Amino acid sequence: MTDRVLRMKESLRVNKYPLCVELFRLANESLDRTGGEPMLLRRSKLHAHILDNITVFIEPEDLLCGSGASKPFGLEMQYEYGVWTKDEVEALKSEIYTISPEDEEELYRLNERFAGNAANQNLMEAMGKSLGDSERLWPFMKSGVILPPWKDRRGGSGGGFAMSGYGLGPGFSLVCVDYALVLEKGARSIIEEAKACLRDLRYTTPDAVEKRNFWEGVVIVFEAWIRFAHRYADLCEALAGEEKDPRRASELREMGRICRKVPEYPAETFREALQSFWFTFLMVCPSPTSTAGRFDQYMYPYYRRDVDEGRITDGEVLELLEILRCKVMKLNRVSGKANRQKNAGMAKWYNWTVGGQKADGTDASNELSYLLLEAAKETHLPHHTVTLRVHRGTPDELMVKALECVRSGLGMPAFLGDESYIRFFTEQSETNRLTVEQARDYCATGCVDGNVQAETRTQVAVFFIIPHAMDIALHGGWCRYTKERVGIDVGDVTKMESFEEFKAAVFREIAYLMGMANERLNVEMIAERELFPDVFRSALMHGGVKAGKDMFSRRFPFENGAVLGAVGGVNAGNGLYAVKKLVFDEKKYTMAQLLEALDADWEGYEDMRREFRAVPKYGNAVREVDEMVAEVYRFHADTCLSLPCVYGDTLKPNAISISAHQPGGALTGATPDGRKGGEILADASLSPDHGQDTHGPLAVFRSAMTVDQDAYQGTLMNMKFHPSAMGTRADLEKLASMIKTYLTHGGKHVQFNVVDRAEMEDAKVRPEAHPELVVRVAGYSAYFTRLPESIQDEVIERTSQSL
Amino acid sequence: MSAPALAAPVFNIQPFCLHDGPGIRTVVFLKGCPLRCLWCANPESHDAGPQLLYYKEKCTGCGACAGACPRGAITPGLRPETDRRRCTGCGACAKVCPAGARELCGRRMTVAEVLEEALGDRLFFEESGGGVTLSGGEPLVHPAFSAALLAGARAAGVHTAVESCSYAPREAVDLVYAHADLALLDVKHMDSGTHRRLTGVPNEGILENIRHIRRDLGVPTAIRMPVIPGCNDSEENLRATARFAASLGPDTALHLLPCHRLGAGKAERLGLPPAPEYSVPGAGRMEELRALAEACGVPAQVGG
Repeated sequence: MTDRVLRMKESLRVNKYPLCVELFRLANESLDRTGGEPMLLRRSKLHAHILDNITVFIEPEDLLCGSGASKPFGLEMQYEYGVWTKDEVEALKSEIYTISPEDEEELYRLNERFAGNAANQNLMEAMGKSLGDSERLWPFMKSGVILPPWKDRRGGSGGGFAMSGYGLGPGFSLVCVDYALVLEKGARSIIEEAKACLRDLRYTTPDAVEKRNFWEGVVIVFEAWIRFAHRYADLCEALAGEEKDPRRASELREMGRICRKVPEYPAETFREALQSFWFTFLMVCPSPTSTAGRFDQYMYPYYRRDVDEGRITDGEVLELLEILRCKVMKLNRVSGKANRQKNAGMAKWYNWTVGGQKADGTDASNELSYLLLEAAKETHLPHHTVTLRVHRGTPDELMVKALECVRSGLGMPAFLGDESYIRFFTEQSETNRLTVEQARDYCATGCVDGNVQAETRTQVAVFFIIPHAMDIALHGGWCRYTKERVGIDVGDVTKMESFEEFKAAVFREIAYLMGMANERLNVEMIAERELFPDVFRSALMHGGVKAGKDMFSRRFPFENGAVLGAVGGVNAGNGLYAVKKLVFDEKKYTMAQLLEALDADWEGYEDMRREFRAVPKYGNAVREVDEMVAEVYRFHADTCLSLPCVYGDTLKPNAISISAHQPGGALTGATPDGRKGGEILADASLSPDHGQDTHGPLAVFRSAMTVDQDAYQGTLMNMKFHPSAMGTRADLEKLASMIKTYLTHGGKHVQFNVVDRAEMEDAKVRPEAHPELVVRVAGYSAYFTRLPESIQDEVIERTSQSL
Repeated sequence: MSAPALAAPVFNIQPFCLHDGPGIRTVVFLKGCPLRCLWCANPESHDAGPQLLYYKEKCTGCGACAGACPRGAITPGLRPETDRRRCTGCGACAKVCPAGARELCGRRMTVAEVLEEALGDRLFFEESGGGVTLSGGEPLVHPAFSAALLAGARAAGVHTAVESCSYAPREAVDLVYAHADLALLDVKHMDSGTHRRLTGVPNEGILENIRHIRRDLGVPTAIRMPVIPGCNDSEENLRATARFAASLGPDTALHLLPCHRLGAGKAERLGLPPAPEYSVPGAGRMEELRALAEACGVPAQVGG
């Protein structure tokens, strides 16, 4: 690391992040002035007003212009969430945020002045009207089958929509815009294209006015964006004039020159391209799920040319990539307190995808792929995320480089399987698919949710708690959590004669509840499409300007508008299998006895619980139970693919629990897999339930390979490794081959956590908290908590030596 | 008896091994060993019969075991006593123990059963160039079984390795190594008298068998030397071992394996007197020894 990066990294250590009200003020000022205008224009003018007025600054030694807020480390209050109440602000202050007394006072004044403006009020009302006022949907919203359980008919879980947590919310869109377009053509050409469209417009179609509004909006926003860059150019020149250090002065003059040129005109050098990229990223980054997509692809031509012509060295590129990491660390976003809790700390998903294939199927990795990994490893900063796409032709060298990065304790990159991701886009249906060449350009948006750059996007994602839905099936459509009728009566399960009959009844209930979940998603999508059009990102989709429509009003060749996440599929599959075995096959217990035990939360039924727990579980390569879990996922996927999405085509299945297995488990009663009510559900979507895999990582992979993952937008598999399993290059090569085997045989995702001494010490004291901790013993790897104490000590001792 | 029906006592089938041959491997551990090395980390592998392991830290003293024992070998109490002479290793007590404090070590499995389990990870072997490693105990104690198992793995297109002390009749060696792609062969000491003191048996036959495996049978070989401070880590012995490895011809490697304490506690669980403790050689010392070995003309590495 250069001294400059070291100092920038050092400067990231601040205790409190300042809350800023500028964006909130500017947005509301604009909304106040534009009342009555079409929303496309109101939102465009709002963005332009912010770009023209928000405070710009350049921090010492920085080489890139542009920040996420009006103050260093600042967090702008988002206007999309409506009014910021005093208790929300107090909650923020009690955490890692601070607000100046003047700003706080102004915030409350703004609240009062603009109470009627906040567009999000309408979102809450729209959703509340559809969901809260429906006698059919309201009990469902309260049940928590999709998180979070609503408490207030007017739209929310108790604190308004901003806190509802598990929907993506207005700012969270899963999309990667066409960065290459900005780099290659520049903003000016986009403006010219919009103007040409306006000239050619004929009022012959019903959407002619909508298109006019869109193109006018494009001109407004992109012109303001160029002015925004010029404000930085002015600032650079002013600072250069005052600067005493001649080296810094020349850096500032060069930065000024670049901001005068990009994003307005095409970038010609790596530095220009990087600045142009960063301005673009900042425009989409109000969302904490913003993604840089395949950075190593669209930046490569600039890198290659500069290196070939001697304009830049790898060391200089590395420094710039490391500065970029420091700058991403400073980006932030305020959301409601409930949401912050669920996303544990400062969760952000700024995802850079590396590797994978080119359109023709050959390997796409290049020097930038390695440099991005090196920057992550060297700075050891958790953001931005780096995700590695793996295919058969991924070089071993790149896999080893990635694993060195994982080994350093970062837990990054995650590994994605090209084959399954690509099939998601190419094999879904005749009317909803991409060509394989298009699909090969997918990237991770958000966490591991697949979207193709500038070609597909996702607006809403919600989590569906399958074991909770299953419990409702067992209780005649009644929810044990709210004590209300939520679902349909699928018949008396105690009178069912075959397992097939029982399973069909459970699935019928799940399908019914998923139908309501889909309605909930559609209600949010309709409202958000109306309230939050965004010409900037819409223009940067393929054919975006020409289309003349917001990206959520366009039907894309592959429609990926809404996804429903499966949570607890492993618990449901394990539970069904236990019922099949003990109730129907072996007839050791009756269904009535099982229901009694579940209703008693297994209290007084300990021996029975032990037997239900002892039935083989997913994660051990036991075919029968793995197939049951696979069937649950298959059913969830098929059901999603049968439910209509208002943006076009159908709902899409997803299976990434993030942290939803915790609150989902908290409101799910006892389950037939032997789990007690309220306990956490299985992590991720394909990780085994806690501590139930006893045959090592390969058995876990084999179980996961039973599940058809192609239909899913994303799946998750988390593994923990001790650094001793990653000691030598030969070890890394073997792990690389293991990852490749999984990802070329149906697997979609795997990521590794590397554990340290502190975690092992804790695992000794609280084994229940660390069931999946894998450590290397003598010639093999084993679960740490299963080892006798003496060996645990030995392993801990050895770790401290080997690190 | 047909080959798939042959059976042997197996005490562990360990998947996902990275250090027992190339690639990702599954190691099959057979029970029964003719040596009694002072430092042995796997005392449960000595006896070929099934044995009871008792984890006193898990035991609640409930007495269920005593009631279940068909031989009356268990005296109930807070710490129930097991009379090992009367115990046949039937496993009745382990089945009823609610705390999991009793476990039966060693199960007779047929070649077909072992293959089914060991080849489960075949997909991972293919990508990594791995396979199945047969270990122990001592695989040569069960030559027909071992040969059938290796032949079966090979027939399935999987790489095979055998980890052995080579203390066995020549016929057993020929039978087993005919099906091995790699031999991992232990040399504990080059001096026969010292070898006998450390392991209970002399080493002449062992060294002869190793030469035979490498030279006559042509199996690629790595010599594995456990480094036990005070027992065999003198420079003189190391040089002798390295020269022996070098004498076997090119493509013979030497693996120096530092002793570890991961077998601690096993003796107690088997009701045996505790094994002596040896200090663990540090990374610096191992590197010194490695360099010394290389100087004798053999490619040497620390660890397998």
